[in-house]
Amino acid sequence: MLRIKSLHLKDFGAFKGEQAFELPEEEGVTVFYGENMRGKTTLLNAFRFALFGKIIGRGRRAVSFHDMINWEARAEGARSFEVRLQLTHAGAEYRLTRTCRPKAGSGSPAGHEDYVADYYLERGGHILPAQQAALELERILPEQIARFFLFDGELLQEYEDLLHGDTDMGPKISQAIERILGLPTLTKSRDSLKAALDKAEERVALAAQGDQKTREFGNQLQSLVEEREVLSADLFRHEKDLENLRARKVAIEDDMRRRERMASLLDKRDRLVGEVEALERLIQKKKEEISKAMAPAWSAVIRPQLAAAVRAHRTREAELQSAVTRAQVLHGLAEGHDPACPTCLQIVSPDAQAKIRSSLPEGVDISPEADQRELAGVRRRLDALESQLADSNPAALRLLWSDLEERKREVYSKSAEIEEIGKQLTGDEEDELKGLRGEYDSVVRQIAALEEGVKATTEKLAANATYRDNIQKRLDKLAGGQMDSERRRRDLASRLYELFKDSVSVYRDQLRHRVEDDASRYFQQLTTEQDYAGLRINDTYGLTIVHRDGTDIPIRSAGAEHVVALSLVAALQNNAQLRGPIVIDSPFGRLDGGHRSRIVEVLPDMADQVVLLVYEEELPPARAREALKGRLRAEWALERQSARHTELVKR
Amino acid sequence: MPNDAHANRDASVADTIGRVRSERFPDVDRDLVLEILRIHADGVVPDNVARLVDEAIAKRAAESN
Amino acid sequence: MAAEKTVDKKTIGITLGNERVLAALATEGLFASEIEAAKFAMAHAINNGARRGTTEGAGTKWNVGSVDSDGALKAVIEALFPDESQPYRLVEHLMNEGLRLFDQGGALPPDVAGVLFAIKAG
Repeated sequence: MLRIKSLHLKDFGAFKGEQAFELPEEEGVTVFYGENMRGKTTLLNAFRFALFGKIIGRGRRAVSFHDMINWEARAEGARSFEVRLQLTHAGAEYRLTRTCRPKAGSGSPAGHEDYVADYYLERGGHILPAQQAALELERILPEQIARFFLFDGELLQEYEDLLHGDTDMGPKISQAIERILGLPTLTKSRDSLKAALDKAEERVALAAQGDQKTREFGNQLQSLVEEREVLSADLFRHEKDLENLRARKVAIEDDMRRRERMASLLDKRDRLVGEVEALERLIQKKKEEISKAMAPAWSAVIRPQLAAAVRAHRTREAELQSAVTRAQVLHGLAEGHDPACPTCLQIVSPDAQAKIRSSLPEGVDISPEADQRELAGVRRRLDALESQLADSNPAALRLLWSDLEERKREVYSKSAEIEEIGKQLTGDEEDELKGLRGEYDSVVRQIAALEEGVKATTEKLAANATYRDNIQKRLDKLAGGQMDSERRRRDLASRLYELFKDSVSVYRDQLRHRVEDDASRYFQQLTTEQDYAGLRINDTYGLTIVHRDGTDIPIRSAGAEHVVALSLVAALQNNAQLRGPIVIDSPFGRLDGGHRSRIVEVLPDMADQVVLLVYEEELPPARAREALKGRLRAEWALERQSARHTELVKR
Repeated sequence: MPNDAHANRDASVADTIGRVRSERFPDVDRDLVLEILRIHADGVVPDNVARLVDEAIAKRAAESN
Repeated sequence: MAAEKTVDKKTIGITLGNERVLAALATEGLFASEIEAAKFAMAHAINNGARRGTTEGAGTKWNVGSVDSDGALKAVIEALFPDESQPYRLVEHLMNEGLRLFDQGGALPPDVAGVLFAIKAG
């Protein structure tokens, strides 16, 4: 049983100077009240840092050590922080001290890389050698399962990994669960026995080679054994590589998620650049159009003048026309050639003729040639004017120009946006992101190839096993002194192996059912939904809710996942080889008041030592006291001294 | 130093394997099984585990002859 | 009315000072040639009430044949300025007057679009 005795902090996060708290000996719940940003998560991180040297921020991001030094203290010259954890485990007293300080030669540390964190572990007052310390720490609380003991609302969300057994982390986590549940003894025995069996088979082969009767089989067996060794080594390597690649993939995904904003900015910029290019091509076309249209533009400019000139000319034309006609008539009449009016063809009487003649001024040259010449000129110019007028189209020109202007404005504004984005992206980030994406693609490809390889090698191993089996059977039919004792050993190893293999399955199933029962029980206590009967766990530790009517309900709503996750953790705690405290930071998420009360009520059952980090609105102290009753052991407050200084105060 | 949880759990592993043995592998010696389990107790495997296992098996195989 | 019989210009030129503006106008207005730009400048001058006159020192840039291949320009000038006996001389004058109007001292390019948008409905 892992029990925390005390936690001691020095300049860690918001906790300036040296501060500490102890947890009570008796079973029960200790509650820490603090507003957001006061340091609740930091307390959780203190445990993580002490045990694993890691500090986790929002979105599972690692937090820089440089930022973890209390800022006020840092301004006053502090350059390190420290956490000390006192705990008991398996009857022994431990003290774990982990310190973060600048690396040697780091003049003025500015970033995470400038720091180093190291630790030492004391047991019963003696400092353990490094390797042993590592082993014992691993035994006290393996990092892989730490999340079931030290968790916050955000991490609880990520429990979805478990609730959907198809992500890459799923198998890894269910392995962690199997570990917490104590399977390793069995599985490691099974693996040892497999190795022993393989060796026994080898020895049978050797013995067979020694005997003339069986030599041929012995040789075949021997070469099959050798092939198997090569294949097994390959497989082992593949699987190790796969494990690393998968972890790398997850890390890259995390990293890319962090840079999502950058990524979307990059995408936006690329899109804008494309749009600007297209616009510029369009602008080029429009300019060519305008170029053609500007040839007659000069006439568009003087269109009003042209129109006025046309009107004036038409008037003049009409005047001249009548003048010419009149002159022709008079001339005809004066000459007496024709008594008929040329226009209306009526006969003009002699009286009228005399009258006309007398009305004409003396000596006037009434020849119409001048007028005719002018008329011709007017007409010629009218043609030209009207033709130009037809060509001129100011409205069309205006449209073309304003369209061009519009496009240019678009280009300016998009270019400005591109420049803005450029300011937000540093060249490094862009390169890094590109590098990340490239790496991600490569990793995905490698994983696929490796999986293929694993499959192929597994198939080959299976075939190899079949051949070996056949030969073994044939060998067994032949008697032989030396071979007999080897054969006996091999048979025994084989039986042992089968026994352990079967036992692993049986035990795993038992565990699964035990955990399922406990999780179901907790779930019923925690949920406010009457129609839910319990939980079901499948082979990969995926969970579903069981409805009263027997149907399975997939866990969809955030609320249910929360409660289900808590139920599972509680069940694991119950059945775990490792019994220890749970430290929970704001576990309520978006759950309503009803659920919250239930969680608080059930908490003391989940573990002997429960540390709850909350803020008062989330869980009013009065409600906590009422729900927990006698099992509330202590209350602490995270009190604000300044923006960057919080004090732990016992209430 | 086995604590309660360890002992309980170890007991239950032993129980399980004991049951499977008597049901399906009665020919396998009970003490041998316990010995194998003991070698791997706590999931912590000693460096010479292969040799220890081999010796346990060899001893038993010879005896049963 | 009797037209004075005088000899008209055979070439049309741009003053040294106006060359820069002409180039700027041709670029800014996306004209296919400087001739087209010059006609545009001429029209701008007419629009701004330019009177008959002569521009000295215009040099020789184009043949009238290049500027007015179909005689339409001459006809228009004759129509708008009936008293003018040397239409091409007037064209030269109006072009240079127009370019002077467009000259913003090099700080800004000629406002071609502005001219188009200022045309009154007629």
